[in-house]
Amino acid sequence: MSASAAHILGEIAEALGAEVSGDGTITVDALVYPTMATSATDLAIIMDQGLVEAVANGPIRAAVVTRNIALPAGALDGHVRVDDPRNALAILLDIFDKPVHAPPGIHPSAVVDASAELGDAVSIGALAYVGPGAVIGRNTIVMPQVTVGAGARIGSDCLLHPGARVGERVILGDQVILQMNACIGADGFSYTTPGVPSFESAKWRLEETDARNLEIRRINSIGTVILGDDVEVGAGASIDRANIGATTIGDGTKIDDLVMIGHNNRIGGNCLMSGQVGISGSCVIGDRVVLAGGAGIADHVKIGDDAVVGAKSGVWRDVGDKALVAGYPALPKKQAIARELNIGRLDRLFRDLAKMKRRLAALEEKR
Amino acid sequence: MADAEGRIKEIIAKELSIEPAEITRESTMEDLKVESIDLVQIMFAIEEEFDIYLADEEVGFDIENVGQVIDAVNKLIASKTSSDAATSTADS
Repeated sequence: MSASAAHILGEIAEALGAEVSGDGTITVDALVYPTMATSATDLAIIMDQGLVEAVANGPIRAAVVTRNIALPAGALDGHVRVDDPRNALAILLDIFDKPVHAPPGIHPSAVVDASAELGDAVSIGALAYVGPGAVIGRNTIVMPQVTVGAGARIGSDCLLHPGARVGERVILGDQVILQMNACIGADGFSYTTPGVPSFESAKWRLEETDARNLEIRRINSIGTVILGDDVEVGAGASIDRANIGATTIGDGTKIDDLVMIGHNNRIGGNCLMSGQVGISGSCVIGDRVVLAGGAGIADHVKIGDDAVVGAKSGVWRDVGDKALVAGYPALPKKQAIARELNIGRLDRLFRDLAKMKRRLAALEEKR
Repeated sequence: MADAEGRIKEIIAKELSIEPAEITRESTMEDLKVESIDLVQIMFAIEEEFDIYLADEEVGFDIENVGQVIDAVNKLIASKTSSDAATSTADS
């Protein structure tokens, strides 16, 4: 680990809302797992009993330790006990954060239109582009090779990682983070055919399609995307613009890498969407909804507040508030689990059935 | 079949990668940190081991503790043994 600024163990304990056992004056300059420790100024974070051994044999003098882990006596000069290791990790990684390299001002290779408005202390990295009429709020960091389209409005304290794309007229709130190559405001996947398109009739027909997709006509997307405050969008994720109006994402929603959010979706606040989630179009998703990895949501589906959708679920129908659904097609969790168990039972069921048929035949022969 | 209890504990321990000794009749699914998908595997393994269907005793995903599973399995084994005996009598 490369060392960063020095911190005093006592101050770290204070930030964690905890107290030091032992020497609170120890200076630490790097946060490590016990097995990574190379220096007496490393601070170890110990969340697993199995890692304690490395402490006894290593150079570590100080550690943050989950409450229930037993430490050998005298292994450390000072340690801090915490009850919630994830929360402690969040606080520690704020303290030991490694901010991106982003000097204030505009890099000479960046192209910033004269009509763009930049707030105080904005940083525009190498080879970035900011289009006409774009507005970027104070302290926002625009890293190399980011493009901000004409008329886009970006709030304050945002961080746009390299390669992120913000389309024309897209609106981002404050403290938004776009990871590398996130793409906000591509056109929606929106087309029409003469007559009923096969993908619509396939929703009720069972045998054959009445396919008449002879001409596929484009429907333009003149709308936009609006992201609320504190939204984070993962690497390579994309959020398409609406036909008319806006695809919206509420405050505090976190979107993982390679998530695809189609046009006209309205998504609430504080939602969590793991990698490879796909939301087709015109869905209404409530607040605090969790979509686990790879879940796919069909078009025009409504998902209620606080619902949790299991990994790889295929959601075809509306999901209520606080509902737990899983599987493909997605069912309420109890039913989904019963389905899995019953599929597992089939092999034995067929064997039992064969046995019963033989017995029945034998009994009938006797009569 | 007196040792159904031991075999059930072994199955649960194996599925959860813990020691059988850590499991008692009073252990709840929450104590054992059994996730729903673990429960599917546990129920499936128990059904295979004893050649029973837990659904017959209405053992579902709302079970509270290991004791309930043991009691249900014992009951199913008992009724299976008596019905097998009845069938073999009828066959002879």
